[in-house]
Amino acid sequence: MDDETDPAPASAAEALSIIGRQRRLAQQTVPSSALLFLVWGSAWLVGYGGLWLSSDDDGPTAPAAVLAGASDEVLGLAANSIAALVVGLLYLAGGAMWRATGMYVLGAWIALVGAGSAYAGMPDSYLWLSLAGGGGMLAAGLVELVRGRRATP
Amino acid sequence: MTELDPVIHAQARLRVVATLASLARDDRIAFPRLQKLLDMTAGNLSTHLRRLEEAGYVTITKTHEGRTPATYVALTGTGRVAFETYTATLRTVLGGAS
Repeated sequence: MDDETDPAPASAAEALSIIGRQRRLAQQTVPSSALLFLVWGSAWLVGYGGLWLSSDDDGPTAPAAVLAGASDEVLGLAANSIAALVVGLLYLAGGAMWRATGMYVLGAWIALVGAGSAYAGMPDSYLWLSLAGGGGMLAAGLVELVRGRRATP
Repeated sequence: MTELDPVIHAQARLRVVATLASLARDDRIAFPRLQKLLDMTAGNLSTHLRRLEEAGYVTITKTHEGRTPATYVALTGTGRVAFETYTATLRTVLGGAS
């Protein structure tokens, strides 16, 4: 080889094993979706679950909405539903962009949960987001965990 | 025996190219991150990257994040093709030997 500081691999087999090793190392740069889903799932489960437990359906009301004639119930339902829809759409977009099937499916599920939560009424909308939303994320996290384990022997 | 690309067929440069090729197409990696993955000194890695840049296999982007200078490294299309040809040649060599 032309430069003695960087010698050629001893054999073709060694070159291939170098490539394999680096490929596994580079996997460290991929963020763990299992971890992200599990953390967010727990946060939704606990957060929305806490809101459901503590809600006496007389939360604060945005003054502008009162002027517009919306009731507390409608506001609460819209806030929950829209929040979940936004998260669902972001996950759908992210899943499509990075070709991450798990993220895409979870996005569709969260969007459906958001739409469905509007029919649950208040305060059950919180429970719906906690169990179906947070629970869905936890399930997706577990699926990703198992898939990750299988992919790396 | 088929000729192996001398730019890639060197232990350290092969590790650099293999790492970059493992990233998604068009992805770039920060220099310190790459250095950590390769466990090389900054000077060493710079030397190898310069050689690869001369061959047109990598692009090095120098930019600023706030006031801190940041350097990003990416494999070019040419680099990716060269790496794929290189691995294909290795497989042929191994296949032919058995």
